[in-house]
Amino acid sequence: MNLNEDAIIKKAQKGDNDSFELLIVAFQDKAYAIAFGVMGNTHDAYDMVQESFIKVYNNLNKFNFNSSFNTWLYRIIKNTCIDQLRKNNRKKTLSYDATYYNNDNELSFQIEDKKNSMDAIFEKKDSISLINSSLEKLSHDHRTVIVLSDIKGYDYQEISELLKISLGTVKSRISRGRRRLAEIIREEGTILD
Amino acid sequence: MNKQCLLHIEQINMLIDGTISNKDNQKLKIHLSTCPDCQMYKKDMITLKKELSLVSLTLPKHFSNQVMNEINNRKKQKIIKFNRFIKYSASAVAACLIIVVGFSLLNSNFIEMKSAEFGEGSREVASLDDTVPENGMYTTDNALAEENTKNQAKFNENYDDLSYDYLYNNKLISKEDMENLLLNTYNITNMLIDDDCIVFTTSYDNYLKIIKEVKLNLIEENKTDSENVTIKIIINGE
Repeated sequence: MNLNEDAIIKKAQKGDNDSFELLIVAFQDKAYAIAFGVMGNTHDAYDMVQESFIKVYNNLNKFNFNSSFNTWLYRIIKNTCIDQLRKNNRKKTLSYDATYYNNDNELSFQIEDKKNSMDAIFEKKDSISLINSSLEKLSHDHRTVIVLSDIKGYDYQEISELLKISLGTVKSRISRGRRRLAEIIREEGTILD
Repeated sequence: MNKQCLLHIEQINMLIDGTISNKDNQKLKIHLSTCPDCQMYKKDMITLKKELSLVSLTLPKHFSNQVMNEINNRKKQKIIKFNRFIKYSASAVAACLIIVVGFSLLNSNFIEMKSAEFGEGSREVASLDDTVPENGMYTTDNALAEENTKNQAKFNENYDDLSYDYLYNNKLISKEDMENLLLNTYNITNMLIDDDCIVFTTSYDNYLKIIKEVKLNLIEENKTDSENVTIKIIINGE
């Protein structure tokens, strides 16, 4: 956290709405990526980011600079999203990822058919809508790292700091997430044929 | 893909992300040169990463304004809700006061009605002032109370300070005592003495005194003229 950021937060804590708006602008993209990672669709993600910033506004005086604002904000966004998922009574998409492991708890693989390569599928389909619908079916842990890494372009270290997970976990989640996403895209692409 | 490939999956992802070490890169290159499945996997991952990078995940330009507007709207709603709460609370308090005052008025009217119905005596009872009425009776039957009061007064008039208890506890006077009493105290010499009664005539004043003395002996009196009374005192009667 730099000094400028501290100063803006302190001003916002004193009720300066312009300073709070600056905070929103500075963190909104990251917040949206995280919310999308958990919720899986842009509409819900938008609502959750807005709700999270309102919570931040109402509770800003509780922020005591012991942790980074980034971490504090991430926790609020994640909790807001998870609360909403519970309200919606939606099950985690983890079940969809469960096929990722076989009975021996080892990664299972299919031999990719060249006809079903990513290139071939994206040539035939609207890649954006296919990716969006496939991302929705990914578990939120995998989706969050894929979004931060491949859509928003954060590096492993940044993701590790933001999500408070180890570098090894980041590498593992990215690898497994991409692998699973490719499988889902392949399945979605085949269904749509 | 075989089990050997599993070891290289993560390294392929690190390779396309540019985070693989030189040493791991060398090992991976050797594996890729002999494994068509991993080559294809690498190609797929590069394509996927490229396609993902084309996805736009950005909020609208005026998102921050929208958030601030929403914050202000909620503040206003909070104020409106608070005002509404105050309004409803005030209404509820007013309603409660009206009910309490109304009930009190009804209650006082009810007491007045009861007082009018049962008279002043009942007001004493209704007012919860637990004093016993002078005649010693709580009754709504005024006629009966009046009758009792009259009887009490009549008794007091006849027997003066003698109480019912006194009379009850004293025995009957014997014939001899009665003769002595009439002779010595009231100077009555002209007495007709029979086995069970004594008959004589005396003044009305004496009569009043004698009936106090004889207590529970039965007396039959007959007024002979305006001043004298003929008295028959039954000695052993009950």
